[in-house]
Parts: sequence; C-alpha cells; structure tokens
Amino acid sequence: MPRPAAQSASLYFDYPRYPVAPSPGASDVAEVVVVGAGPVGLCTALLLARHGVPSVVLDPKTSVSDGSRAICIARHSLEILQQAGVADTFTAKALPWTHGTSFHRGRPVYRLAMPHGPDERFHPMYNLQQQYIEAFLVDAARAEPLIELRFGHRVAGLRNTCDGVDLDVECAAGRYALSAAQAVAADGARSRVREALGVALHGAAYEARYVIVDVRLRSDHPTERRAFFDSAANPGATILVHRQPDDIWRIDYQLGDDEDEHTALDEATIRARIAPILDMLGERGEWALEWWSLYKAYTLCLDDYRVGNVFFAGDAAHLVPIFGVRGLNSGFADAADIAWKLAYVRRGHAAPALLDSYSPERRGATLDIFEQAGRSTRFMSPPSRGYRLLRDAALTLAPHHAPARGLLDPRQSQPYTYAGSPLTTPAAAGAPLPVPGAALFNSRLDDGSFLLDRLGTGFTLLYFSGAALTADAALDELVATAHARGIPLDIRCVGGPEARGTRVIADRDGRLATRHAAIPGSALLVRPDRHVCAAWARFAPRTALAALLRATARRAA
Amino acid sequence: MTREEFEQAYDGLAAALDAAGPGDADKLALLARLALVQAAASADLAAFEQALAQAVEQGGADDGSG
Ligand SMILES: Cc1cc2nc3c(=O)[nH]c(=O)nc-3n(C[C@H](O)[C@H](O)[C@H](O)COP(=O)(O)OP(=O)(O)OC[C@H]3O[C@@H](n4cnc5c(N)ncnc54)[C@H](O)[C@@H]3O)c2cc1C
Repeated sequence: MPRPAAQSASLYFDYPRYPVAPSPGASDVAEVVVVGAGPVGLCTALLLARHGVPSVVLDPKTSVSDGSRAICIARHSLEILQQAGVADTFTAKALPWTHGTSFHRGRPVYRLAMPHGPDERFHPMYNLQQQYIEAFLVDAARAEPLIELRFGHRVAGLRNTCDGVDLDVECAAGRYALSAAQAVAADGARSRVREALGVALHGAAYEARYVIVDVRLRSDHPTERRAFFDSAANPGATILVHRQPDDIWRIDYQLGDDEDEHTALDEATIRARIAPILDMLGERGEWALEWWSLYKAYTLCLDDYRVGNVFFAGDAAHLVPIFGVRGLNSGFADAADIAWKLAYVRRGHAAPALLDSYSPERRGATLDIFEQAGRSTRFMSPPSRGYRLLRDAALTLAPHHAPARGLLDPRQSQPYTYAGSPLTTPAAAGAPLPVPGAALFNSRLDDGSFLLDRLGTGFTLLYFSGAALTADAALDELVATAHARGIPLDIRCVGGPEARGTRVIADRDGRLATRHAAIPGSALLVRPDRHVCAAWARFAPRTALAALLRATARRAA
Repeated sequence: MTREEFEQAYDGLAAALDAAGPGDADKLALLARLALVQAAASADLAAFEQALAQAVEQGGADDGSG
C-alpha cells in the first residue's frame, strides 16, 4: 500500500486547510455543477467563468490531493492555464525543461530535445508537484466571483432529467438536493458519478509495476528527464528520474516480475533500492524519503464521455499510462474543450448539438493517447520476450542509427488534432497551417508579444493580408453576419509594417505569414479553445460563414 | 518508411520473435538488431520474418546440441 508521509509530515509542502462550505439548505439550483475540485474540475470552472458562466464546484475534501502524482505539465496545458488566468503563478514556481537523456547499461544512448524557440511563450515541459497545481487553481477559483467552491460537499447520487441534472449532495449539515442544467463529472478515477449513471471504464491493464518515490535531495543536476534501461541499480528493468521544485526528486523504478508488492513498499526495502540509484546518479549528499506508492499503467476509458446532461472529464473519463505524461495534460485539454462548448450553448452562441462533439473529440484524443502511451509503455517495460529483444536492439543501435533512436523518443504529450470532428471543415491544398483540427501554434510578434495572447474568448478569423490591407469590407461583412447570428467573432489581420488597434497585427518582414505557409488573402478560422476549424488559401465571407455555422453546430456537417 | 510504418514493423517483428521459440540469447539479440536495421531500410519484412524464424529454430537446435 502507498505510504507515506501523512499530509502534515510533508518535508516541503504545507497542506492548506480550506473551510467547509455551509449547506445551502434543503435544495439549491446552479447553472452548471462541476463534480470534483481536482485539477481538471477546477480548470473547467475557471474556463467557464472566463466565458461568463457561473458554476458550483463540489468536493468532499478540504485540502489538495495527498501524495505524489502528476509532475510534468506540457506546453499546451500552460496555454490552457493561461486562458484560465493562472499560467504566471505556475511558471513562477515550476521548473521548465527541454531535454532528456536515456542510458542503456550506464551509457548515454539518446538525447531527447523537445522543440523550443523564441516563438514559444512557454517551455515544452514544466515540472511541478500536483499539490501546487491544485493549490494554485484553488486560489484562482476562490478569487473568481463566478465560481462557488463547496469543499466538504460530496456528490452521493446523480440523475439525468429531461432538462438537466439532479444531484444528491452530502455535507456536514446533512443532505441536500441540487439541480443544474449540466454537470461536468471530474471526480477522478473512482468516479461516483460514473457509478450513479451505470457506466464503466473499459480497456486494458499493463503488467509492469513501478514504485514511485519522492526524495528530498540537494543537487545541482539540471531539470531534464533521465531514463535508465538495464542499469546497475536496477538490472533488467527501468528507472526514470525527474527533478521537482523544493529539492524534491521523483524516482520511478520498475519492479522485477518476482518482486512482492508488499515487500517492495516496505520502507526498509525502498531505502535499500533508492540508495544504489542515487549512487549511480553520482549523488552523495544526504537524502530523505517524502512519499512512495505503487503504480501500474492502464488504458481505460468510457465508451461515451457524455451521458445525457453529464460530461465526463479527466480521470473520471479515462485512465492513461504516465509514460509520456498525458493523464493530467489530457484532462486539461478536456476542460478546454467542454468549457467553451457548454458556455456557447448556455449563452445561445451555438446550437445544443455542439455538445455532441465533446465525446468524439476528446475520446478520439484518448484513443490516440492509448496508441502513443501504449508504445511508450511497451518500450519502458516490454511485455514479451520479442518486445524486450527489439527494445534492447533499439537501445544498442541508438547511438549510431537514427530510426532506432526515434524509438527511444518518449512521445511527450502533444495537443490532439480534431481532424475528423463534425466541427472541422477540411481544407483544400494550399491552405495555411496548421491543418484544420490542430491547435494554433504560437508565434512571437514584431512587438515581442505572442500571437495566442491576441485571441479572445470568441472565434477568431486570422486573415493574412500581406502588405496591403484590402479585404476590410469583406471581413466586416463576415463579422456583421456572425454577430447577427449570435456568434462571437474577432478579426485579426496579419500583415503590413504597423499594428493598428487590436485588429491589425504587424508582420513587417512576413515572418508570421511564412510560419503559417500563408499567402496574401489566406485565412484560418480559430475556435474559442484555439483549435483551428477551417483554413483557406483564399478567404471568402460565404465559405467562412459556412465554417462558422458548422463549428457552432448550427448546420448539419 | 514513415515512423508509423516503422512502428508497425516493430510490432510485427516482436510478434515474430515471440513466435520463434527459444534460441541462443546472443544470436537472438543480433537478429533483433538486424531486423530493426532491415525494417528501417524498408526491406521485405515478410521474407525477413521467415528467415528469422528459421534462423532461430536453427539456433535452438545448436543450443541443444552444444
Ligand atoms: C504516480 C502518478 C504520476 C502522474 N504523473 C503525471 C504527469 O507527470 N503528468 C500528467 O499529466 N499526469 C500525471 N498523472 C495523472 C494525474 O495525476 C491525473 O490524471 C490527474 O490527477 C487527474 O485529475 P482529475 O481532476 O481528473 O482527477 P483527481 O485529481 O483524481 O481529482 C478528482 C477530485 O474529485 C473529488 N471527488 C471524488 N469523489 C467525489 C464525489 N463523490 N463528489 C465530489 N467530488 C468528488 C476528489 O476528492 C478529487 O479532488 C500521474 C498520476 C500518478 C498516479
């Protein structure tokens, strides 16, 4: 069983105590209920608030989650957290990183270098303990007037009704009934909402077991991902090492097939396993144990992330292997997807059918993760002799053979492309990049700010005008038609030597246009969650309106 | 060969090695390396997998006798 330091005994983190919210009485009504104040529920509530939608967030706990869980937060998650208004708090504490090294039998065989450059506001990856992640999100949620956080309130039951959701909530003062138009179930791996609605996760479990240990240790080693295959400290098996803030180091080591789980989780055994690992790392300083637990990889998800008026997000919807760091990162992407859709439907900007696109988009992302993370897991811990032989072959060949090196890439979390989504209009050849469905990539602008900072909460038409701004009338016509149909739309014209207001983004030497493979007159239509939903080599108001209607489910695809 | 194709070839080779039965560990390791290099070079993997199975059977017999 996992151990460890009781909350109060953490070596570095003071667990906050949040006040239990009072009972609202026998019954209560909310517009949207978020079940679970874990990172995914909190992020959903913050993004809903950004769109002006109030929510009630319920959670039985009165602190943040205990022990060591997510630590690696990907760039795209930071871009989502920026929209939630909390990215600066995260980057002030988190440790950014870009590189990793894989070792085979003590020899470095692969250097991971994640794409990073001046066009990015955020590093490809940040390490930050989940306790901090949750605490920062709670602080932001408590400061947000549109969010009512009810700690000490547990959802005991939930039913779909013809026009909403009825919940039974338990708190210290007793039970009460809560009705809402929609609910987001972000109540984690053991979701009570799943149980109440009679749905279950399906999929597979991997056999390999890892012991996850956090130790406190002072070390100057830079923040990077280190993977050790078949090392002297864990012969025949794998070790992963990550640095975290506050001199905390995460060490994951794979257990041998013959190792007993109970013995493996004994404190004396853990100490005996960690000492040679630190020795191998060249760390001779004092160290202390913070936390340990056992981990097994799963690829499990719901058949449908929507059940009536309830939308499942994060671990309540899917459990994915930690290799490639996708659990929480994909949960944040769920939050970004469901928040704008709920808000748009609730505010009448889109047809109710927009909500039908949540499950295919996010479940599609999960299945892609299963494919990617399944490969990473099979590489980290080969499930058969054949896989082990090939994995070892790849490790041996890697220093001299590029394709084999590619197999060592841990495939860190990337945003999913909603290419097959009913909201996405396929592009013809010659359209600017990224392809419809993909997340818009960032760019540094002439004034030093970033492209993604210039987008609002509505749809954005990114129009590449070249040096001459000639399409103003056609763009105005599109905005007027969209607004007449209740669809928020902003125009950003890219081109010319000088910025003008918020509408024109300067692109003096055409660098931005080149990054997007855009020619004058081409355009990208970007959704409120910053995924591109249409792209044209030649913008025309009529086709742009059709794409907008499709992306708001106003018209059959 | 695309990354996806290479990865599919990886899965196919792993299955072929699993099916090949016991063999000399060093020979198998060498064969696995050769197989990967072949796969990356877009070689005819069906023929290679067949040759692999035969080579492993041969290896097994050698082990048994020696
Ligand atoms: C060892 C380990 C390492 C990991 N590393 C990474 C990583 O590096 N990167 C990454 O992206 N992911 C990682 N993950 C995954 C990550 O921790 C999870 O994906 C993430 O916590 C999911 O967030 P969530 O909000 O969906 O669920 P949770 O964090 O589980 O939150 C669910 C919340 O719901 C509440 N709740 C439960 N029942 C009820 C109820 N009946 N009523 C109301 N509320 C309820 C709970 O109290 C809890 O606060 C790791 C996981 C583990 C175990």
